[in-house]
Amino acid sequence: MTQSDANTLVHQPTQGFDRGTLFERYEAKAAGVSQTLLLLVLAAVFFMPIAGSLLTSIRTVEDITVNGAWALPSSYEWGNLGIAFTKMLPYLKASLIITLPSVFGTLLVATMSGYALSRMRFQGRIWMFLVIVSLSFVPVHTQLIPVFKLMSNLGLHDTFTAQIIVHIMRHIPFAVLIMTNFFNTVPGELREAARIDGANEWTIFRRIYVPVARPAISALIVLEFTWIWNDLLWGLVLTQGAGKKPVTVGILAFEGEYEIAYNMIASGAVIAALPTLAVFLIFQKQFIRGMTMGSVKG
Amino acid sequence: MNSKTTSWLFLLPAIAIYGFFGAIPIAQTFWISLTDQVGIPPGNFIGLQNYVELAQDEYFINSLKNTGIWVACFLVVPNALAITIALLVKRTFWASGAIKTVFFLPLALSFAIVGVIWSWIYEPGVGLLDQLLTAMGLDFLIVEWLGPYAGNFSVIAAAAWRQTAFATVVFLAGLSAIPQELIEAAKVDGATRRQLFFRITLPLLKPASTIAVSSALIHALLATEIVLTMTRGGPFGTTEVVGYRMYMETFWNYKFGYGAAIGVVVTMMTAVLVVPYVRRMAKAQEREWS
Repeated sequence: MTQSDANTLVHQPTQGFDRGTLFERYEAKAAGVSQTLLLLVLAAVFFMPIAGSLLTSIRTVEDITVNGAWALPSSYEWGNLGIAFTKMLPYLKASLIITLPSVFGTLLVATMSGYALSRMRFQGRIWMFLVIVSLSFVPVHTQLIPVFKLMSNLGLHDTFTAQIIVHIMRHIPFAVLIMTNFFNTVPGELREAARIDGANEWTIFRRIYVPVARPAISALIVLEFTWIWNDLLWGLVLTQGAGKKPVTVGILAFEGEYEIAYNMIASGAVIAALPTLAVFLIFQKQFIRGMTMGSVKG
Repeated sequence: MNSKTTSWLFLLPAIAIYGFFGAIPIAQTFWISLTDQVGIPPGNFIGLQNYVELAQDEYFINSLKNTGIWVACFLVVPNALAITIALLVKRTFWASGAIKTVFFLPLALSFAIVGVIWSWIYEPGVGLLDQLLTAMGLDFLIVEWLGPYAGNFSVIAAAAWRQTAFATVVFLAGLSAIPQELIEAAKVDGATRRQLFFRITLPLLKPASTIAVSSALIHALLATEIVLTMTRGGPFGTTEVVGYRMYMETFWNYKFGYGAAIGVVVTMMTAVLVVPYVRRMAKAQEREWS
């Protein structure tokens, strides 16, 4: 018996059976159950597009037309995924070649900048910060045309290089923001101590600050990987032939090719989504952390 | 070498890359919007003529109207849903891990994938949605999802699915940041559940709301990739949005000057809408630095 129970007994000994409390308890329980139910229904509705795609991807078209879209497969056609994989392979490769250097470049440049910005003590610091925040909101639409033109003039149209440079450029503001905010939380004494030991700036940065920033860096890697991998617009604008197109463009070509073979389209979607889904499921913690650290995009 | 020079050296790569490939293009877009440029070769200066034309362009005004609907829907639907989900997840103590993942999952998908999946969901007759409604005996609700009347809303719903995932992450983080003692103290003082929600939870969710709302606004304003994958603006331009119009005028009609003008308009609209967010970030930063 707890203290409050004891009090109740002392103060209301004659009331006996307390209807009010019992009803309230019942009500609270009912509310709890209905909330749980509501949550489960919402989760089911939310999961339906993904569940439906997975289900459709391993069926035959006849099976879908005869038994309906939500029936269990009459036969498991894992081969669909195999065909989709073979067809998507060049696009998946291209996406990998574009995404990995882009993520590395963004991280390298942003970590250096974040370190410098958090150490600098000049008057207009808040303005610098405002500029970076504002830049992270610049819509691609203001950069598409001149960048397209510039890349053509540089002879970089339809190359991986062009796409990598553009992705690094686009993601610098957000990544710098995150890194600056992170380095602001690191005590400056760390640096002073290393300084006294005679280490130069680059060594201090590489040996002390980069390892300290590991949580922020890992969160950014996961976020940037997903975002850059998922980009569609630059992949469309900066490429010509199939060889340099990322998987986001590939899935559209795939969709066009199969038109009403829904099982194949779903297979293509599953294959194209797999890399980012896997990264997300494995590194969910980092993903969410990055998201809440910066919380600018989505 | 003094430390100030070193700091600038550390900043140099970012400034060089963004300056050359990002900042200069922004300025160029403003300039191109004042010319009649077609394709890559430079055009002639024509002043504000592109903007005058835009103001009378039926297609553009139509896309502006659709973008307005996007913004209105996006402001309410994903955020209201996300707050509900976040509160439910928080209250149902066992609903950790798997359930959260289900709600977060769409964040990992590109708009290209979301578009492909939802096009199949909306497919008349055989699609997942029609079949689901039929199975539930709700077939009177079925409309031509991607047709001229429902099209815009259907595309918005597909994008809202993904946006809700983002907002749920943000609101859950916001809820976790509310000190539990505060809630307990209010309970001890006899606050009802409603009072708890409106007087404590909701006001303390303000930072999270600012983030969720700004993100929704930006995605609604641009919304190019999902329209491109799902409907290409059709049927009859009923799902065209401003961002998609810009893409089409530029890369299909090769009217670079005109496309740039639309780009400038989009940027201006974004700038106006994100001001509250930027202000909030600056305030928080100033507090931290002082």
